[in-house]
Amino acid sequence: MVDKRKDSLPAAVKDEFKALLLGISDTKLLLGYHFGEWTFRTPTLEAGIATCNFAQDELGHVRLLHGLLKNYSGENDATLIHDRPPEKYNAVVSLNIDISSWIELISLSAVIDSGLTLLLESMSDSSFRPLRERVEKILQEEKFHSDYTHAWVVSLAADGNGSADMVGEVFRKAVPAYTSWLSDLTDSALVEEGILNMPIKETLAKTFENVNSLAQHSGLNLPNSKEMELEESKEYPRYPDEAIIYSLRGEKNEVFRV
Amino acid sequence: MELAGVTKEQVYAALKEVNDPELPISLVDLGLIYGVEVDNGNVDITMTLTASGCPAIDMIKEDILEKLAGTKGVDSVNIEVVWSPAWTKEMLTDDGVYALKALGIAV
Repeated sequence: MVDKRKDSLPAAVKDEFKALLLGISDTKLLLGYHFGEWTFRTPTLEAGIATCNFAQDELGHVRLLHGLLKNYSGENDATLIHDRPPEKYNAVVSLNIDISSWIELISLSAVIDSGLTLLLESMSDSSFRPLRERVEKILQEEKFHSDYTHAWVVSLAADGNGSADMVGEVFRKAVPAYTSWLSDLTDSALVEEGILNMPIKETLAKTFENVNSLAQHSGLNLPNSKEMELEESKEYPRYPDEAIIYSLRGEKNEVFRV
Repeated sequence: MELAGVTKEQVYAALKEVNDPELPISLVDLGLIYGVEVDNGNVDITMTLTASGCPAIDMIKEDILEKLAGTKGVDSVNIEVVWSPAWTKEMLTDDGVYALKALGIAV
């Protein structure tokens, strides 16, 4: 059998590869930002430590994905960070604005971060070695995020102080937003070349399955996946807030950059 | 007659004296060094980090370069950070496990 595994990126996949990795890294960048922002606003010290740790992980994953974009898509720090206008970002839109509560952050993570993990799992046996190797490290770290946020969702849903309603409300908005983001990515060349091991449509179906399973386990009442898939995410801005972009670029502390 | 260059064993011995910036344990005992190749005075190191978001990455590289710059026979050092296989605690050496336990860290 011919080993089709490769160290170079086939020309046919370059556009899809760039869009996919940018979308994932932008979403992770904003997740990292929000985790960092909520580090000192959690209900317990331990939750703050976890949030801080997740922020570090997400930014580490951005670093790994940006490395691939720099090496194989001709990007650099200017095009990825410093000179990129908000309209060039492609994160899941739920993350484009400030997050109003820690419960919202945990619930968003349970949908979006876990969804990204499923997407990354579809690259874990990628024919493109540099991607496969980095995804291995990312998935190793992401396992804790899913375990943690899913456990919190179950606890919050069981809480009698209105937390369950808040979690359910976030899920009802975040699932269509994630669906819309994922559905906009194209994958035919990536699947053809074995860069992705599973079509995005199948990953999406698995995402619904996971969200529904978590919702059922938590006693949350969600619309069925078809209804949520068709729902438009009108409630969020298409692009990240300028103030968030300003923070992401690190301009305030530019003088300390080495 | 003295041979030019440096041996793999000498490089490992030097790296054994470079500690992780956050723990008093060497990079070797943490299992972060995946490989060392030497070609006369040219040294290639393959290593990993415990976490992808490790903020100490530049510091670790600088510490390695500084240590090896002071090692006889070393002309150049190339460090490649890799992520596969992903680091786990099973990669700790026996000395590393002992050192972490002595610090009160469960491994």
